[in-house]
Amino acid sequence: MASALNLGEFEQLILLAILRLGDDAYGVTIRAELAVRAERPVSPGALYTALQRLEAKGVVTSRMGDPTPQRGGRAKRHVAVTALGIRALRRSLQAYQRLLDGLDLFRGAHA
Amino acid sequence: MRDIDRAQRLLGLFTSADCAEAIAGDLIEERRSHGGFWFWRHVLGTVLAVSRSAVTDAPLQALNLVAAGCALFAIPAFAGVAAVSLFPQLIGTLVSWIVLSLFWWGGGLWTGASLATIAPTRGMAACVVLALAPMLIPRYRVLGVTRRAHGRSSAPSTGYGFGRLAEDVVRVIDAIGVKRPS
Repeated sequence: MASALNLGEFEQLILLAILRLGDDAYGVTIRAELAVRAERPVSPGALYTALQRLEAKGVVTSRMGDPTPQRGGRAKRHVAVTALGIRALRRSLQAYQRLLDGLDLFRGAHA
Repeated sequence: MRDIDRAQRLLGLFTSADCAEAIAGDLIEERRSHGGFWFWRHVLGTVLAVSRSAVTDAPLQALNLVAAGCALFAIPAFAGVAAVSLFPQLIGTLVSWIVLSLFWWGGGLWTGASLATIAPTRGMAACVVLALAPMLIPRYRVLGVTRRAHGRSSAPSTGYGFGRLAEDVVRVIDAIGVKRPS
């Protein structure tokens, strides 16, 4: 495996939310996606610091959009997952998959 | 200066200009459904979160920020203390100025500025509000309300509990016709 980058659980959730949202991924929509799909209400502060960390790791990139009047004339900061991010995410999720193999966790066998 | 400008300036002290603009925009976008209190709570929450991560990620830069922050608050504080020591009669003005600036930075807290906002809290008589009144009068109607059992009113040992206080506040609010007590 070329990349040795490890992602935390919260980081994996954010990356998955960004991938699902595609071009519409920015602060507000990512938080909404996490609240609905992952049933995880995330405070704006927690999300922005995590995004900064992910950008510093080279896992996501961001670009400023156009200013919109609904946002007081402020631009959106669109984020996207990089190729490195995809590789790191795949690697983390494959680890889960391998560990889940042979377990009957979802049918309550280990309750 | 509007709330969003103030928020963006504050965020800009702790993060890049682009980030501050986008975060302020995100928060103002959500403010419509969550309200002004939510907005300021999360502006401050984001500032705290960003500065906390700055401490862990770049301790030196964080030290600079702390120094800048101390200077920002220390200069007016020293000036205020010096002024009061020279002219003791200024103490009321200094206290009013501090309280007013807190209110001012609260931004949205001003909306619906009403009796409930400036009603004296437990233990305070209406006369305390008088110190602030001159600065509020140009924009608001200022009413001072003294709680039961304060000042020269009677103070029986029972019957003046929080239930009665709440009832009194509601009555005063109804009497002066406040629609949205904040």
